[in-house]
Amino acid sequence: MNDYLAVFIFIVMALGFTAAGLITAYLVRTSRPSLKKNETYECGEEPVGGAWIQFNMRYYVFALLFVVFDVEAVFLFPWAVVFKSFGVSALVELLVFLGILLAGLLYAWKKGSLQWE
Amino acid sequence: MMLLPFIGLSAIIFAIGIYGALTRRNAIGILMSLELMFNAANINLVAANKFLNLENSIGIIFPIFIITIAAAEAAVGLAIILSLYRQIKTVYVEKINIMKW
Amino acid sequence: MLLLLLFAAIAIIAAILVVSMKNIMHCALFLALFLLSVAGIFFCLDADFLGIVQILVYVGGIIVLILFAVMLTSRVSSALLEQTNEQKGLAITACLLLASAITAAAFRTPLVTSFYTADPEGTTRSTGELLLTVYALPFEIASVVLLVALIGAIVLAGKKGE
Repeated sequence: MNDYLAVFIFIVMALGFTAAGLITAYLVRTSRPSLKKNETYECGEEPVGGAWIQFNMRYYVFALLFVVFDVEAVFLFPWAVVFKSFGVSALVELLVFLGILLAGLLYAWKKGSLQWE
Repeated sequence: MMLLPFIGLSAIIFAIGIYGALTRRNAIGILMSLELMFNAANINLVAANKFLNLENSIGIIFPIFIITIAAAEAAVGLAIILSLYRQIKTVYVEKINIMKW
Repeated sequence: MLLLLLFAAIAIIAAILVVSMKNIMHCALFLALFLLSVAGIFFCLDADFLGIVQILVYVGGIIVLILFAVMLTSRVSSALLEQTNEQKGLAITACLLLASAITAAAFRTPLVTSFYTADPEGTTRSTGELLLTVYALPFEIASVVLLVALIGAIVLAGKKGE
């Protein structure tokens, strides 16, 4: 439990740092809102359209691939810890696991989902 | 510390999830309520592993598989919702009645 | 102990907000808070690897998917539509009945409580050993499930020219 004390202190410090910055800014700033200032910030350019536009469906496929390989990585961590004591059989099991998922990646590639046009 | 408070906690969260699944009109909201229910089950398993001294620490392994299934379920479920949205331009479940006549 | 109570309180409040907020975007963000506090409960219950998995997969992956889906399907006009249907009262009754039934059943079950001594090295090693021996088949089937989900979702969502 004491190992997490550092993490806890870190979280508290991060929250405190952010909150202190925002509160100080709120206390010392002047407030003079105008129509120009309330527009969506777009790197100094004049904004084109609203921020709540519909996004391209293609983003979803990339997020999907990320989640699938995220779960795969989760299974790799405990495998990597015990790999040495199990030897070849562990390697074979993992290669089967990765091979099945590789088929999915190849399918996505073949289907053209990885291309951005 | 005892097991019973954790069973109570997971029962409360599960009931909140059921409430969300029954009352939400937005299909994505229903999927979020499903995630609440998955997590209620996981809390139950982990607490049982801690307090019942289970063999083979099955209460640690099983939630990993549940989380895997939850990821697969979210991916396919949201893909179905997006596909429906493209066809009939809505995510409100009472409007999705193309299989009803 | 105090930390555990804090996490449980945050989890319940965030869960209630997930099912009651009007804006579906805010619901997704409160779902992230809920999942983080559940990860905190896992850490307090000596399931350190599971807490990491929760943060990596749920908060880092599934929430991102849900946020993408929210942004892909919402319009400015739909952000303030009524989000709940008319069966609220019935749903609340059903949930209260269900929660009390589960709790009553738990109270009547004779449970032999004994403490499990936490491995000082953490649970990652024992998890790996189990994954390669007892649970080797579920481990491989998990990858088949992920493959099927990947292909199914690409077929459903990844059509061109629309």
